[in-house]
Amino acid sequence: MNFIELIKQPWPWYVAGPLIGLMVPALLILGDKNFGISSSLRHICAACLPAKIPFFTYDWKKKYGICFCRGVLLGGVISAQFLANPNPVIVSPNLAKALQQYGITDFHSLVPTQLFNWPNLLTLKGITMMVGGGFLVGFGTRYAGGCTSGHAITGLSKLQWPSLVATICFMIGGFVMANLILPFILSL
Amino acid sequence: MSTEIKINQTQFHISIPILKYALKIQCVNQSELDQPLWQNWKYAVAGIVFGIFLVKSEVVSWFRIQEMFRFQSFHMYGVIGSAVVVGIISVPNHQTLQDQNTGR
Repeated sequence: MNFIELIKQPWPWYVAGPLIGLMVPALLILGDKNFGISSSLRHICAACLPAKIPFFTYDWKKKYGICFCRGVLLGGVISAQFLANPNPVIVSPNLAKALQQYGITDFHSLVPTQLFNWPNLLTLKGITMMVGGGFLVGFGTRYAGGCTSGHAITGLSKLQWPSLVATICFMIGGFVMANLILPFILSL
Repeated sequence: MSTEIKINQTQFHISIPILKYALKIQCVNQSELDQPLWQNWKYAVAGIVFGIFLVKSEVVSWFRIQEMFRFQSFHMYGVIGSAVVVGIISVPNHQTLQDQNTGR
């Protein structure tokens, strides 16, 4: 098996985890920067909103984050175009069984295409998940001052207490959403 | 500081747009970055690498996230746990970094 075929397979956690962890010192070496994604949402607002809202009046051009995020997007495109795994995503049998109740049977993509598609955007379920979810991501990351990458990876790597609190709360929120709220939304 | 002001004044008088642009890229005073804007390509490259990591490890997968929160798979816990451990080990001077805790 050659190298390209090898990296086309999904990477196991003990390969991917340490590599992601190494992004923290890599960005510190590149320019003493905190590693995070969600602050770019703020930079985009600062760049696009002409209004003099204090939260958005700063020199967004000086922030490296947008370049980093463009790179992440491009990296995703590269992975999808050239390094894509030809096989369906391996989903735990328990999850497959649970999702079957809601009509999700297609595991060929990283996201369930039966839920996230254009026609679904006009249904109550679709708009709740896509628009509602997007709103919560945007609001929550600014309210918490960081997203999963900012708090759970960089913050914890720097042993910051607020990041530990944030990470624990992310996990609690995730458990509640996945187990209690999402089944209700899926059955809409 | 005085040289910087001078540079900005010179820049203001240059009429050829492309030269103006070149000067601006070189001379904009970036107190926060202390490096020219074009150096941002480094972050773009880092971003590409990170994007590939995220997709290939499937941590961006909706299914993986569901499995994590329903305790049906160890994958995500393994990724996050090992990333944090590697991050903690590889970041030196934790105290100094905590002092300059700024936006992420």
